[in-house]
Amino acid sequence: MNASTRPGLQRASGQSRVVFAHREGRTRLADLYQRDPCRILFPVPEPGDPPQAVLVTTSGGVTGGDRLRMAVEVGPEARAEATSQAAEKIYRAAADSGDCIVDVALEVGDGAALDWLPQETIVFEGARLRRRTVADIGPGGALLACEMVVLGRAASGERFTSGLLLDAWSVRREGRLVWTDALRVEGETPHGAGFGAGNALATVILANDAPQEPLARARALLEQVADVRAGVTLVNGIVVARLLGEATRVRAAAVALLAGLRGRRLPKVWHV
Amino acid sequence: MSGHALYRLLAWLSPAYPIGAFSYSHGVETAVEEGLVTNRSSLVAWLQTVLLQGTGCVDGALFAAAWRAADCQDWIGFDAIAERAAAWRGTAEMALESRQQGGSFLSITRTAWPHPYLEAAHERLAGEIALPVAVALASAAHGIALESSLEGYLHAFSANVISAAVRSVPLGQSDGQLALAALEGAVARTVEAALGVTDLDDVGTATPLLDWCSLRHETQYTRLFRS
Repeated sequence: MNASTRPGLQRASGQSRVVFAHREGRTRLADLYQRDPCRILFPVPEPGDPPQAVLVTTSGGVTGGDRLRMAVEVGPEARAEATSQAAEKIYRAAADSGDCIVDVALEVGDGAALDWLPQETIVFEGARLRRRTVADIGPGGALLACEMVVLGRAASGERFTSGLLLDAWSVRREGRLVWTDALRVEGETPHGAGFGAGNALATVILANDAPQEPLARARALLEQVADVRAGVTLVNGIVVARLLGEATRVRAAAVALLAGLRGRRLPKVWHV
Repeated sequence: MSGHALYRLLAWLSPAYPIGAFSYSHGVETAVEEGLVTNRSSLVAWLQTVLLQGTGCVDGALFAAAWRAADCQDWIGFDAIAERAAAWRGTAEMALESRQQGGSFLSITRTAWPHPYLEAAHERLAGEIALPVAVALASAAHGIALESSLEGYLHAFSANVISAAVRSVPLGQSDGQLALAALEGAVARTVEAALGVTDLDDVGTATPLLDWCSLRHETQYTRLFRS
């Protein structure tokens, strides 16, 4: 069914929670909860790679009034990665449907490591999305995260001229708020210091106890990037990289940056 | 404005107030270098978005929230806003710009216009405070109305970036003042928007080019400014 014409009564309220724990020398799935349209798949990882969770929205996209809650928790000393099966599509919201609300909670325990690498979110013309991602990192924990948004279906020539994208991030380390940021695009992107000619923005953040080396590596990797406005900084102890430009080029540059920071390819779903 | 309010506000927001404002360009040095700001009209367009959809929008909302918390002596709420303001910085240089000036502002204001609220905040936050939160605190402590102090703050912010632009672009002094005059409406709208914010969770920016300029500034070869 075309979600943009879905009747009001069928607004989705999905939820998923996956917990990984370190037991008997390796990371194992410790808990799983899922309610449609949120599903989680567990493909067999490449040899030597940590366990992988692939989040799926079975409705094929979300629209006004939908509410999704997703949680990924990695217990002390565990290592895991989570991604999404496909680009998340945010459909045009019907006039009276309200905003689509997505809450993401990431918990990284003491000495644990999580790569949170969902594929891009495509915000259709007229869509209304409020997404909040909150990461809590314990002592010695490490998080690599990427969030990429595309405004309008560029492939079909669509521009984003109305609607709302509010995409907020908070990172806490040992309980203290160390970094927060919110992108808010309401209707046309502004001239001046806005998006320039770009229709996509990727933000990559990396938090660990030794950020200088990945900062230098990210800087070197981004120097190789062409046709994308990219840069990286170390702010309040967190490595933050931004890539702004045309969607396919931003995606390619983000893939190269993330693979370089990880020292291995991105999860397979990114490459199909 | 009553009593000594105007006198104090003018002192605190003057470029002569010793917080080092002259050393920050808020990314405009790179915007000039990259050809994004080339003349008066592109400077005005740039700053309109920095005010209405960028730093002005976020810092205006943080200023208003901090002023109100201080005014009703809600110090738990105030400290949460201060923490958020310190964390809400896109780049290392934006963080430095806000933290260094905020710390200096609190320090010199404690000396010249002491007040128990300033002493207590200095103790609680160990001198670490973002500039909009520091100015909001001093204004609330000394009874300066929110709307006036916020308008003054955003005027000073705009004037400082314009001054940096005048030193970077071949722009004349009168162009700088014409730009400041042209931004009067944008500052007023930014104040109005900030006063209307009821939940900081609703606030955000749409200025990735500003962030990009600030990121690039870190590795820019020749730099006059610290941001």
